[in-house]
Amino acid sequence: MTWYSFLLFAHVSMAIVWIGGGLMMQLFAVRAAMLGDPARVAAVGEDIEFIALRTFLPASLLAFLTGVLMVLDADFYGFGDDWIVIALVLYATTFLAGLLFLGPESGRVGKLTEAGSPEAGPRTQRLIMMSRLDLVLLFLIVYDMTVKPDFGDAGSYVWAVVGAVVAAALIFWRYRVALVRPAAAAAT
Amino acid sequence: MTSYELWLFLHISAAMVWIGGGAVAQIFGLLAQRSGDPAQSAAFGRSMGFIGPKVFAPASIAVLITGVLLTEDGNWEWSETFIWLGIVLWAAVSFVAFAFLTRAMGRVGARLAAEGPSPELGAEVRKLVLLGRVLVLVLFVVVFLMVVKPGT
Repeated sequence: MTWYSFLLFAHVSMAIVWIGGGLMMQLFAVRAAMLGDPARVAAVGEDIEFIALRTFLPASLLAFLTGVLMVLDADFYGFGDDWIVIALVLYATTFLAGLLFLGPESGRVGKLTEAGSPEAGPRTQRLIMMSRLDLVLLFLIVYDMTVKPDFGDAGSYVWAVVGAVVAAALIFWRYRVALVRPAAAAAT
Repeated sequence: MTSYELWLFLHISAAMVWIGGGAVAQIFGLLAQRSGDPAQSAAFGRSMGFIGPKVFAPASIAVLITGVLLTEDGNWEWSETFIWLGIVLWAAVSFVAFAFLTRAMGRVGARLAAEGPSPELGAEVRKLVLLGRVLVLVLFVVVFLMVVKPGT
C-alpha cells in the first residue's frame, strides 16, 4: 500500500462517516418528529448536537486534511485544478454551515422542544430543511470528486446543477408543506 | 461525464448512505443505551427496524448493481481479489444485517415499548448493537479493498 492509497482510504472513510452519517441524522430527526413526542424530539436534538461536534466535525476536518495531503503527494493533481477549487469552495460552505448554524441550532431546537415552546415546530422544520440542503452540497462534492470536471466540461456541470436544483426544489417544497400542515390540521 | 463516472458516483453515494449511516446509527444506539431511558432504546430499535429495510437494504443493492456495472464498464476482471472478496463480504454483511439484525432490532424495540425494560432485553440490545458494530467494521474493510485494490 502506498502513502497515497492510505490517504485515499482515510479520505473516503471520513467522507463516508460525514455524509452517510448526515443522512442518518436526518432520518432519526424525521422519525422523532413524526412520533410527535416533544421529549423524543428533544433527546434526538441533543444526540445530533453531540454527534455533530464529536463525529462530523472531526470527520470533515480529517477529510479536508487527507484531501490536502493527497494533492501534495500526487504529481498529477494541483490546487489550481478546477474540480479541486470547486470542492474547496463547497467544502468551506458546508463546513461553516455545520459549525456556525446546524450544530448549535440542533441543540437550541432540542431545548425549545423540551420547554414546549411554540417556536420549536417551525424551527425544527427549518433545521431539517437546512440540513437537507447541506446534504445536497455534500453530494455535489462527492460528484465533483468522482467526475473531476474542468470548467470546460459543460455537460458535467449541467447534470450537477440540474440535479442539485431539482433536489433543492423538492426539499423546499417539503418544507413548505410541513409548515402548512399543522395549521391545516388545527383549522379542521 | 462518462457512464463509468456515473456508476462510480452512484456506487460511492450508495456506499456512503449504507456504511456512514450504519456507523452513525451505532452512535445513536450507544447514546440511547447510555441514557438509561428504555423509551430511547425502544425508539432506537424501532427506528432501525424501519431504516434497515427501507434505506440500508436499497442502498446495499444499489452498491452491488453499480459495482457490477463498474466492473463490466471498466473492463475489470471478476477474478481480481478486491472484486470477489468485496462481493463475498458484501453478501455476508447483507445477509446478517437484513435477514437478522434489522428484524431483531425492530422486535426488541417493540418489546421494550410494550413490556418496559428488563435485564434480558437490555442484554439483547447490547448484543445487537455489538453485532451492528462488527458489520460496520467489515464494511470499512470492504472500503479498504475497494480503495487500495490490493493485488492490482
